[in-house]
Formats: sequence, C-alpha cells, structure tokens
Amino acid sequence: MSCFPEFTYSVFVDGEATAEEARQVEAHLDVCPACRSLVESLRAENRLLGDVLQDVEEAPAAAAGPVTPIGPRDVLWTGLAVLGTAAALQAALDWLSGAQLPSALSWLNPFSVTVQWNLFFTSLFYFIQEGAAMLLSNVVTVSAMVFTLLFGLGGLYLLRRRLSAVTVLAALTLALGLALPASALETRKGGNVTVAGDETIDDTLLVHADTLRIDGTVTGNVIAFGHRIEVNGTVGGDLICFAGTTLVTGTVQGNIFAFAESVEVRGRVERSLHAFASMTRLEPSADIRGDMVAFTSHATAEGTVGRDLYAFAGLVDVRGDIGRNVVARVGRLNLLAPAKVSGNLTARVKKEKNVQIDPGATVAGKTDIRLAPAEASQYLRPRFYLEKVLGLAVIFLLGLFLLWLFPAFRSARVPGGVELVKTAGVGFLALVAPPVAALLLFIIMIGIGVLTGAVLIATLIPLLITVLWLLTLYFSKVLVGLAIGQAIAKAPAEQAARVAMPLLVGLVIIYILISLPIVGHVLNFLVWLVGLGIGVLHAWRRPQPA
Amino acid sequence: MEGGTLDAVVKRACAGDDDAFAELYRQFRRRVFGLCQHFLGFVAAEDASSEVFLRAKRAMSSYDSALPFQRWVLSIAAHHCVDQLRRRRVEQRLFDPGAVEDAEPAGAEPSPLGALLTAEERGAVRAAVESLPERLRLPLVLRYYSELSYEQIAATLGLKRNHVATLIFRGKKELRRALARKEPVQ
Repeated sequence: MSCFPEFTYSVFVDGEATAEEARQVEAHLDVCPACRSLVESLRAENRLLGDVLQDVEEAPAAAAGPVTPIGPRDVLWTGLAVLGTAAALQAALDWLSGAQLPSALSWLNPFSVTVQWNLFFTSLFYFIQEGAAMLLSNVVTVSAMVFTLLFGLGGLYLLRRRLSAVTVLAALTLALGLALPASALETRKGGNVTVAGDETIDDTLLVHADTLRIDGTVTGNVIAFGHRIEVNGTVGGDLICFAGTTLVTGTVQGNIFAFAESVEVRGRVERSLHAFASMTRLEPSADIRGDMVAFTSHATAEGTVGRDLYAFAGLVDVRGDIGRNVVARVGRLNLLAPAKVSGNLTARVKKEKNVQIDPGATVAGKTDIRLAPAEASQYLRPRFYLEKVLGLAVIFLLGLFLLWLFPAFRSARVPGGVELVKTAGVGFLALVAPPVAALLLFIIMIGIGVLTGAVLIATLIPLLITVLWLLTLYFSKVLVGLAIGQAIAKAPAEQAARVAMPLLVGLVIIYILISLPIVGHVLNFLVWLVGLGIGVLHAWRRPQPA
Repeated sequence: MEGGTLDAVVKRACAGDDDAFAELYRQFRRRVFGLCQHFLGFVAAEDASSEVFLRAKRAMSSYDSALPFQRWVLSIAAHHCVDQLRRRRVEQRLFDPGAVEDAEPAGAEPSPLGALLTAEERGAVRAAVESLPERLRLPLVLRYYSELSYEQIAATLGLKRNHVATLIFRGKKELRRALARKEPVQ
C-alpha cells in the first residue's frame, strides 16, 4: 500500500479520522517506518502547540477575595456605590469644615482659587492683547487642526480597534453637521467695525476687530473678539465677548457672557450677566433683569439686579438694588447706602471686619457671614489631620476601584534614571495639553453652540475634558502611591494582584510628603507629573489586538 | 481538583449557588482568559472573559453534565470571541469560503516542529501563531488550546467539518513556514 498524504495523518493524529480510515492508517504505519516517524513528529508538534498556547499572560482580574465576574451592570452599580460613598465622605468632610466647601476641597487642589483665576485671566488677556489681530484666524486654524487631529486619532483608533462602519459614518455626519452652520453667519473684520444707528443686522454677528461699536440693532447673537466692544444700540440675542473692555450702554435682550479685562454695564440686560473679568461694574443706570454672576477681582453693583448677585471676587461694593439674594465669596464686601438686598446676604470672608454694612443699607432677609478658616496654623488644628485621613481614605477607596476597573495599571512602576525624566516629560504634556485643548475647544464650541442655539450642549465636551483631566490628576496619586508601595514591599510584577496594602502604604507616604509646608506643593506637582506620565505611557504601551 | 468534587461544585452552581459559581470562576478563568487573549488580544481579553462568565452564569441552568464543564465554558468563550471579532469587522464574515481553494505554494516544505524548549523559542512559536491570519489561527487555538473537536470547531466558526480539517492542516504548515523563515528549526 502506498503512503497516505500528510493531511490524512494530521487528521488521524487529531483523533478525527473515521474508524475505517484509522484502521487503514494504522495498518500502513505498521509497515512504513518513514510514515511512523512522520506521525510521531506530528504528535510532538501537537503537544508543542498545546503547550505553547498555554503560555498566556496571567489574567489580571482580582485574584483575592470573593471573585465574581464583572459585567457592565456591575460596573455601573459599583460606580454608583463608589460615587455615593465618595459623596457621603465628602459630606462628612464638608460637615467637618463647617460646611465650607472650598476649604474642604482644597486638599484636592493645592493652588488657591485666586491663583488660578489670576493665571486664567493673565493667559486670556495675553491672548487678547498680543493676538487680537489674529485671534479669529487662529481660532479657525486651530479648529481645523483640532478636527484633523481628532480625525487622525479617530482613524488610528479605528485601525487599532476595527470598529464598525457605523462609527465612521456617525463621526463624519457629526463633523459635517458641525461644519454646516458656519455659513449662516455675518462676519465682519477690521480695525474699527461699526454697526450704524440706522442699521439692522438680521442675523448672528461674528466680529473680529480692534474696536466694535454697535449703535444699531443686531437681532441675533453677537460674538466679538476685540480690544474694545461697545453696545449702544440693541442686541436681540446673547452678547458673547472676549475683549479688553466691554461697555454696554444700550440693551442686550439675552445674556451677556463677557471674558474681559473690564466689563461695564450702564444699560439694560434682559437676562443675566456673566462676567469673567478683572473689573466688573454696574453703573447706577444699569438694569439687569436676571442674575449677576461675577468672577472678578473688583465688582461694583450700583444699578439694579433683578434676581441674585453671585460674586467670587476680591472686593465687592454694592450700592444698588438686588432683587433677591447676595452670595459673595470674597476678600471684602461693602454694602453701602442706599443698597437694598431683598433676599438674604451670605458672605464668606476671612475676617468679620471684611464685611461692612452701612447703616443706610438694608438687607430684608437674613445676614449670614461665615469666616474662612485661618490658613497659617493648619498644622496645629486636629481637623487638618482628620481631613487628610478622610481624604486619604477616599482616594484609597477610589484608587482600589480604579485598579479593579483597569487592572492593567496594577503593574505600574516608577522607572529610574532617564526613563523617569521621560515619564515626567510625558506627564507634563498630559498636564498642560488637556486644559489648553479644553479652552480652545470651549471657544470653538461656544461659537458653534451660539450658531446652533445649543450653548449648553456645546460646552459639554470641553467640560467633560476638564472633568476627566481633573480626575486623572487626582488619580495620578494612586499610580505613584501604588508604585512606591510596591517598590517598598519589593513585590515582583507577577504579584501585582495584591494592591491594597502597597497602595495604602504608598498613599500614606505621598500624603505625608505633600502635606509638608512649602515643599509639599512642589512634591505634589512632581507626583502629578510622574503619575500622569506613568498612566499615559502604561495605557499607551499595552499590547493592542492586531 | 479531582473530578468528583468538581462535579459537585458544578451541580451546586447549576442550582444557583453563587459561591459555587465563584469557585468555578476561580478554577477556569485563566483558561477562559487565555482563549480570549488568543482570539482578541490582551487588552480586550479581560472584558471578554468577564462577559463569558456572565453568559455562563445565565446559562448555568441549561448546562448538560454530559459535556465536561471546561469544554462547555470554553465553547461559550469561543462563541463570544467569534461574535466580538465579527463585530470588529465591517464585513460580517470571518471566513471567506473562496479562501480554502488557495493553492499551496510549491517547493520544499518544512517538516513538523520539533520539541522546542527554551523560553525564547516558545516565544517565537507564540509570536508565529499570533501572526497567522485569523481564519488559520482560530481553528488552531480552538483545537490545541480549547481541545474542541473538529465538529465543535465547525459549529463555533460556522464552517463545514472538512473545511476545519483543512484549515488546521494549513495553519500548521503556515506556522512551520513562518518559523523556518525566521531561523532554521530542527
């Protein structure tokens, strides 16, 4: 009998030959040493394959404790539970610090709000003053770049993950949908742009100019970039401006969103005024029907505010008529005659004497002045340590949750030498890029949102980026803490499943270090850099499916 | 764990005992994870194996003890992974029926792979398996990792049994060629 083809032997060795076939093959093998040897080597090959295929990377799921498989619903519920726990702990923190949210939150963020606002305004005014002449074209260029980048990254992602065509179509549709409204817009550019008194623009007006003067009427929204923006006529929609000086003597029938060095209102605003400015001023003739919200260093309210006045400011002078409450988180608050507050006055200041209420000024409701805790002696207060311990507990629990959700991060290590510098470099990029991207995206999306009438929805993405970025910053401590703890325990990477103890040890060390006076902030910054770097590199270097 | 005890655990799990199912999870998650990793890669394997156990838990009451538990859970895993792979594709077909008729390249064929022992060589074989096209890799993994029969593989991948036999044979040949290209394998 002649030899069978190798295919037959392969099936035979797999035990899949029919009884008749198997009988014939066996009979042949009895008389053919060459085929016997082939069959032997095929068996060896199968064993080898079976053996080699067993070499898989260890499943990183939780090995200790009661193990239940994790499904999307579990993740949702656990997420809610963790959020609930965190909220409860946060509430405990609030209660501890006398229901003073910002000071309780300060362990999240070592920079004070004031410093951040200063940074924000400084960079904003740098953009406005240095780049007013090219800001608009920059916005266009940058948005093109951002979209290209997004498409590039999206394409890369699709290549790596092979998502369905639906995703691609959805992305394209969305992009087209976002791009289309750009044509429904009146744009004006130049040194001095004026909308004359007898002129009416029946559209949204986008202006980029050194100075803009609206004496006539714009029925839509006005989005303006410039040194000086003056509204003497009427704006039918919202006024959104990024400017050195913004002056409103006419009427704005919508809201004002002003990012400016100084904002001054003498006329009427049918809805609310939101001012992000160094100086915000309501002249006696000003009439704001809605709220006045001022993030500013100096706010003066001499006119009328129909509803609430919220001020986050260094100094607030109120001489006017406030229809409802005044809520001020300020360095100093002066309620000067003939000020009239029809609701409550709530002020958070450092010292009692920083609130001055003239005898001629009236507050119809309750006056509640709360003192921010003195900062200097924080190391002497037991509450400080209690807060740190609670903060530690929260980040420990959230960290465990994070590592449970993303077990890949369990094997994170702090690299040494040059690698550490590289990691910190990557971390620096991850620290700087998202807020810049969020700010640019915010400007772009506000524009798109105004055009499509969906400002709130449009700002969601930049907001999400910011929130994610803050969360990532927060969790950078977890990665560094875990790495430090595991380095101390000298735990090899294979035992990465046991994370609780090393994480706790590492976090305690980090918390002690960053609570040190002065150097603590620097160390905290370094922890951010290294933690972000580890996180980004670790996420990037994980093998992807081919 | 000896067979009797495993049977008992499986029975309890069938009756809805969560602890028993957790025990099964502990015992078999490495194998399931391994299969998912061979199919989908490391990153996706974790989610996939969780999903497989969720499905297994739901299907526990319909488990037929005639089939060994490992094979049962691995076949769930294989089905799930094939679904995932299909979802990743724009065209919803993993296997092109025309592809079987590809001509075998002529010339001297490398002989079956011998016993390789060093870690490096094992790594090379694994890399070669990973580099195989899906239609050759999946049957190999299902046969030699999951130890499914040709019939079961055919059912999982939606193929004819003969086609599976051919793919496995061709997969092994392709593997030998890939390794021979890298370095001479004894």
